Amino acid sequence: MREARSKEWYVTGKSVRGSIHRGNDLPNQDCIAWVQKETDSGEVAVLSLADGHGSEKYFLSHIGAQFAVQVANDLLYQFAQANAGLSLTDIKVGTERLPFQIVRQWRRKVEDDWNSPERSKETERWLDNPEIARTVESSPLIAYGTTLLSVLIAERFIFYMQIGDGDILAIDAHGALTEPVPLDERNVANEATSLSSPTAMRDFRVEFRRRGSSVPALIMLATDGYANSFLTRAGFHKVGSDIWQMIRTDGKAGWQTIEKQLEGWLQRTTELGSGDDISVGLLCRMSALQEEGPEKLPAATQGVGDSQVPLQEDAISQQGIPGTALGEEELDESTEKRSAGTGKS
Amino acid sequence: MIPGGELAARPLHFFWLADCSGSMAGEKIQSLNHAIRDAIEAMRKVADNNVHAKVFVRAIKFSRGATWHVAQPTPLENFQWKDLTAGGVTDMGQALIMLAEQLKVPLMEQRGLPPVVVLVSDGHPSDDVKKGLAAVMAEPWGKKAVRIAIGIGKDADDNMLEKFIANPEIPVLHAHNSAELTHYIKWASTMALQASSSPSMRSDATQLAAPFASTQLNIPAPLPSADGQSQDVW
Repeated sequence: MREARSKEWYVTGKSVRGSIHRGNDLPNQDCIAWVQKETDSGEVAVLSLADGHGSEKYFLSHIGAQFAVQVANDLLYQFAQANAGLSLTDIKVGTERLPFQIVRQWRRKVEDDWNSPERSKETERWLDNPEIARTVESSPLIAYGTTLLSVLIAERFIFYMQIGDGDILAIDAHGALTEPVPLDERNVANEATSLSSPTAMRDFRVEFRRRGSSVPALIMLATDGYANSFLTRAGFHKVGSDIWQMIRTDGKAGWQTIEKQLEGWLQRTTELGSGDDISVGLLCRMSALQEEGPEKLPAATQGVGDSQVPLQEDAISQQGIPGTALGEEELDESTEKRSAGTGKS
Repeated sequence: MIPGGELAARPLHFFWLADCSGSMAGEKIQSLNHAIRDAIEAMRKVADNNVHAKVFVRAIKFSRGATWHVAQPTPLENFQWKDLTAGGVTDMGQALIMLAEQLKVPLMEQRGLPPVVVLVSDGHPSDDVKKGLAAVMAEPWGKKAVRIAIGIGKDADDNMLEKFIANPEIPVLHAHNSAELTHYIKWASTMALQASSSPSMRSDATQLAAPFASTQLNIPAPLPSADGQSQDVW
């Protein structure tokens, strides 16, 4: 796991194997990673997480989840770099191509992997199952099926994108919570839209937000195993509120406690809740601590300490992506919502 | 203490839909009562093996009209089967409409596991069953439900039961005697429960295929009698 810290945004995350997966000798099919760097055009942070589908026919979904996170982080970071000088309107137009680019690159990686000699040997035992053999014969992509949730934070905008289930929460400095990406009603009863689907490009849900006065203090991304562990949706939302309250109460020490305790919290949550793999990414804007708000409340979470955890800055290499057609007008609204293609919103 | 509200296992709603028409009178209804009562213990054993699913059971009976036999979602550990009695026609369509009402959001929670519906019938519906089927399939939770159908005797309407299952991989089970009915009821109530609460149910919502496959349900073969042949009583 790569830890990173820079001037404004603090980033961390963890992934734990679900207790059902442990009991059934299944791997952790989630993946999480992030990149963060101070660039010429300001700070850029990208975090992605993915949840590989669990059914047998998705027997390489843990690999598919890793590919999804790698591809999304690389493309989103490169996008921020390549388009930093454009107007917000043009940047927003450019984001419309990201689902297409991510799906295309993910498919390419999957096809390379599927055709590699190492993978062929490994998959032989799965293909003894006629149902699985039929499925991958129609499309090997299916074996790698996964969800994907990403956030890109740049100097002038925040871009969220998601395919499949899972949650993105945004908490402002006063503790008010929103879910920036609209729900997709197809994600019910253990089924989710998927990167492996032929309609994947249209199934992405995205939101582009110009950074104005309402920049979140805390952004939390989570695979569905987290929300499914709580008796109520409000109980899940309280995670975001509790974590922000810890930071408000203890500042950087609170953040360090969260980094230390997060894995244990998630482990306990899967044991007492859904039993599914859980991955959580947190991005905290420390400058929000200086903003006016209600009086600080007692920390909702116990065990706050002040031990120092050394962190490392990390980054990916910079490669440009061709920009999109340029327009002259500037966005005049702080929030621009859209759903790529026909994805429900 | 950990962040967030109360943690809990995911809810799994289980529905019995039982035909109580006049043709079920006598041995059939007695066998059905016995089979369901017998299956509850087996269901509890399955549920005990998955602490991450909380099973709630309900039952609808249909004859002239349909009514809730067990209206409240009852935790499996507290569930007691009350005997059904038979008499009247086969208003299955009404039962399906009542089921569909309970499969609506927000009655079905987003975090829930796929519901399980087991339909048991020995005859042809006497009301507008197409309307009932359409109502169930119009609900996302109805479409995603694990739907099992057991036909009792040779007069069961297989065509309609197949439409209820809506999955060519899952056959209608035919019970021709009391032993077979017990066998299938036990299988339906345990295997379907297990399949619904398994992590291997996770799949792509955009695929047209049913959310569960025959291999996950391990469809049972007809129960042979002592002489190796299935006894055809009903």
